[in-house]
Amino acid sequence: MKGAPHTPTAAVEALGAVLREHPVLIDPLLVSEDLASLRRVFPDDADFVSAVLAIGAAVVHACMKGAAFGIPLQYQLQTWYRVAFPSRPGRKSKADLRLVFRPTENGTVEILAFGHRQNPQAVYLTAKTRSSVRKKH
Amino acid sequence: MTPSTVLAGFDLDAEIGMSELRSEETLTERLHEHPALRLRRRNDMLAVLVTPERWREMLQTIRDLEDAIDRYEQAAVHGIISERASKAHFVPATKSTWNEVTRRFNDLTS
Repeated sequence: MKGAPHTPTAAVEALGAVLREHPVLIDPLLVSEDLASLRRVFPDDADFVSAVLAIGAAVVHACMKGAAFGIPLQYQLQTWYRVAFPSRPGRKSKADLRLVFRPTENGTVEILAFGHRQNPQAVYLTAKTRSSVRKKH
Repeated sequence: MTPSTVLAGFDLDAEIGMSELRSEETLTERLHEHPALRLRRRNDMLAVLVTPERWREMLQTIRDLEDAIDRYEQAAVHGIISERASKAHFVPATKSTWNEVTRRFNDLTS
């Protein structure tokens, strides 16, 4: 990832730049929800920046290594791969983040989900919160 | 480190001094009596000594726990991933697409 962003906004922009530079396909709705969930898990700016950069690095690895980078999911989801990695790259820290991706036959990589491994419901909490806000208005 | 923290998980006499470490017999004998020893110098706890067998057990315990966490994670995310996989609409991560991501991210977090 070029440069070293220090703010959440810069980190999100940097992630976007990384995705544009690689053959990546995304669902904008899912990515924005995953980023919001990640922000809730990492309220500290520096932690969030580090986590976003780690996700960018994981996406790059997924593009370079494809299926070899992850472990296939089970049953009907076996075309999808998961990989766990630390939010603080370079340190000997726990693999607390997750990326779910699928390499396709034409060389692209579809990004289905990313986020904190122990907070899988955060996405739905986000959706529920938004739904409540809409009803109030 | 507080005295209670230092004592936690250890028998009261499960310790060895720096000077005693020079004696292999003393170390072996002490480790035979206790699964883990505090290595102390005066009131400071410098390290913890365990037998190779105990160390292997600890590593295996960690691996077992990581496997259990992994199974829990897979069960927890399976439903979410299934739903996403069936409904996702993938597009290239263009500049305009990312502007949309950023705008929604800001809405969700503001």
